[in-house]
Amino acid sequence: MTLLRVTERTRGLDSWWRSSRPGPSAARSTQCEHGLRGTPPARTEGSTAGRAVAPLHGGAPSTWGAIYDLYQYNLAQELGENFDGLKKLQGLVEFLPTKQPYIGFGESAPVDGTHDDNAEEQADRRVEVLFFAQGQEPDIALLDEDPKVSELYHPDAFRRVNIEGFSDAKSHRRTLRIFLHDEYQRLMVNTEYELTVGTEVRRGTSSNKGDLVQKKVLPEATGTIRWGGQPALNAPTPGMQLSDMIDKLHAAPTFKYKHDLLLSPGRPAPAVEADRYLENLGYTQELEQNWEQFQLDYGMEVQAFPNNDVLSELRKTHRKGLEPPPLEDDGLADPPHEEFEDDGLFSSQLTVQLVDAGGEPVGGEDFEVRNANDEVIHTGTLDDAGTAIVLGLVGDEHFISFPNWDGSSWDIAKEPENG
Amino acid sequence: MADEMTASPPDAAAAFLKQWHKTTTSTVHVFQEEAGPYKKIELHDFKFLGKNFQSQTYVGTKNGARVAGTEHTGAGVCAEFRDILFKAQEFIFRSYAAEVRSKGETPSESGFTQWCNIGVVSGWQFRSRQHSKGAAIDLDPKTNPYVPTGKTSDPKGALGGEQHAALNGETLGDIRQACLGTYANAFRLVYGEKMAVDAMSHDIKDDTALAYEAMLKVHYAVVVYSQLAFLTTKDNRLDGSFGIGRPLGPETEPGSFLRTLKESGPLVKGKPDADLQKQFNTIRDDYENLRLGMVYGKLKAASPGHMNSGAIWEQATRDPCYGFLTIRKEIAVGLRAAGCRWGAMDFGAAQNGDMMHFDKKWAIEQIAHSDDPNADGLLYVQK
Repeated sequence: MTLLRVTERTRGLDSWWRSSRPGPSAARSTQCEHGLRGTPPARTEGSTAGRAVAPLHGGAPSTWGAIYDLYQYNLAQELGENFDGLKKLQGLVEFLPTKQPYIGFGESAPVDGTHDDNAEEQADRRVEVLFFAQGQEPDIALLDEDPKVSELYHPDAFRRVNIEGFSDAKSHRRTLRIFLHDEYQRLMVNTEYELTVGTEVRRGTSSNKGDLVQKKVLPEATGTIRWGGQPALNAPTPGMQLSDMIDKLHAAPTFKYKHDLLLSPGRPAPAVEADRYLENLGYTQELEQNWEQFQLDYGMEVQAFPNNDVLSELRKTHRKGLEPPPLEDDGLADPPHEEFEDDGLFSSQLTVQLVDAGGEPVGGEDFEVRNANDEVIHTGTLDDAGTAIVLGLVGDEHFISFPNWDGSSWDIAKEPENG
Repeated sequence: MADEMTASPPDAAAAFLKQWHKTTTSTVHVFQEEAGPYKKIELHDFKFLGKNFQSQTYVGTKNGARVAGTEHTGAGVCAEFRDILFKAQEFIFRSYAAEVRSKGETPSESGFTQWCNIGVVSGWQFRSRQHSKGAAIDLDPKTNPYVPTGKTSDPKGALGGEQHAALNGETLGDIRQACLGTYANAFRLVYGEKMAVDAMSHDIKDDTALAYEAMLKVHYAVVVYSQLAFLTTKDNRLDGSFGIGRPLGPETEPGSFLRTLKESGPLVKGKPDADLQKQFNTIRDDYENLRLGMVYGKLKAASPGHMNSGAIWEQATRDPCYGFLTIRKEIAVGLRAAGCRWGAMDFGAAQNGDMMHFDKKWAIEQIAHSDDPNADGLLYVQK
């Protein structure tokens, strides 16, 4: 309560409380409040809201204000937001347009889902705040007409699911720092891009350093980024006519470059990695057949996919296969270079991540990417989360170093995705 | 060069490029204007942007008469320039591959050829300067002419363009200046905004892509502007004629200027003159001005004089309805990145504008060559 008093003194909460508009759930007594549209869609028990409203009974207005203030603070903390961010999230919540946004509990809606007068079970004395996703709302007309016949508490319509408590309600979104290159490995400054991760589409322009930083990106395993202008009108051709240009000459450009991002640092999924390596080595069947044939070809005891030992051998073979042929004649014919198919000029993605000995990310560090000829082809700085994604690199081998770190003070934790 | 690349070409280039880069050779004399000892170079012909090089034939003469058995035919470029073109072709392939892969398609030989969309590649030519040494190429010269360049804000400044023989300097300057005015008029009508003063003025320090994009906007402006009042000729050649003009109108008449202007509404962001007859006349005058800057070979006046004095032009010109740029951006970028000069922007303010031309400014001593003492005293001439 010390904190409450401090808050009262410092903010003059009496006046503040009177002038402020409480949030949707802070001052709504112990009745069930329904009609909040948002997430999650399932009914929940023991929500934060239910716990938080209990102390409101009997308190002085100034205390209510302090509690409301702290309540907002705690909401923001749990969501990993500041007050502006919290306000934006609250703005996404809307009430269903019902005549009566509250339902009394007890016999109206006992937890067992059957209507029963004079229910006295302790479990029925509860607070529920119900959220509905778009399109999952109950029939409002029916609800207004008679809450008892609404499907709101009908077990066939909505199912009660117990959700384990969260340690916090942060979204665990991540920050992405992505460097954009063209096919010449030149950083693309002030270049428009479109980042799609899950259902989110974000557009922007790269910085004058050729990178972009997007915060609070959904925690999806993959995403797509497009960048660089591609005129709607194709390249000029001899004898173009007016009709060839109408609706194209002045149309907004599309994106020239596209890359499917693997947002999980480290290697791609074993199936993706194995499939790609086997194809590069010339195996043309489906993954399972290629996997088996590879082991037979290299005198291994056939193991079903996935198998870490086999995958490790595959990585070694792939790396060896893409290296220049040995200088000394080993008596075997060198495979023609063409045998190794081009696995994607301008298709590589490099995720750089630096963590300390305790596994904590080290942000803000400079890094360099070198190619197989030991030429520095990219320099950059890691984001606050200690990561950076570099797109548009050409070639199969890239090496990362941290020039401000002593070589003995860091090591490669995971090989680059590109092998 | 501002955007020269330091990165190595891709080590996993498409297999078909290795086939394209297999060369056939021929040995030719280096052009000179008088008989005497000649230099000879070895030409390398290969597939560049989907095409082999155009060949040329020359023959020995003595006292003005052809000498039997002295005919030579060659095609390609010198070995030193060949290596630059190999590198450029790999760069250009990268751009193509990046584009098609972003569409979920697979790069291919036929796709690359189609994407490059080049009809003619000309390297060594039996004439003066870099072509004579096999250190230059022209790409689709018919549709990528030598056009006037310069800053519209500086009428007294240096203007670039083709050197027309038998024209005095004042006339040459007037032709170039008039073309710049036409670019600006076309740009204003098509884009609804004033053309940047340096849209057609670039130099060796500039980024290729940005310079190209600026010139391409002018090209499209010229194409739209010209076609509003003229029909496109069949072969991009005007033999001293005024072009195939559209009738003014009325708007109901198919193919007329007024009808075309109406149908082309989405292309014309600017506001045409309220007096459409006046607008029509302006485009016709501009078309005539522009074509004099887009010549085949050398422009000559039948009666030398000032261009505004009713001179009759002997030499054929190109058709402004075609514009002046059909080489795609990635090709210009790739060639320049590999080390070439582009005639559009690297020749200096007084000579820029050679849209078709890419070269390396080398003296013959910088190119592998042999000597022909020419004991018979032949003078070689183009056949």
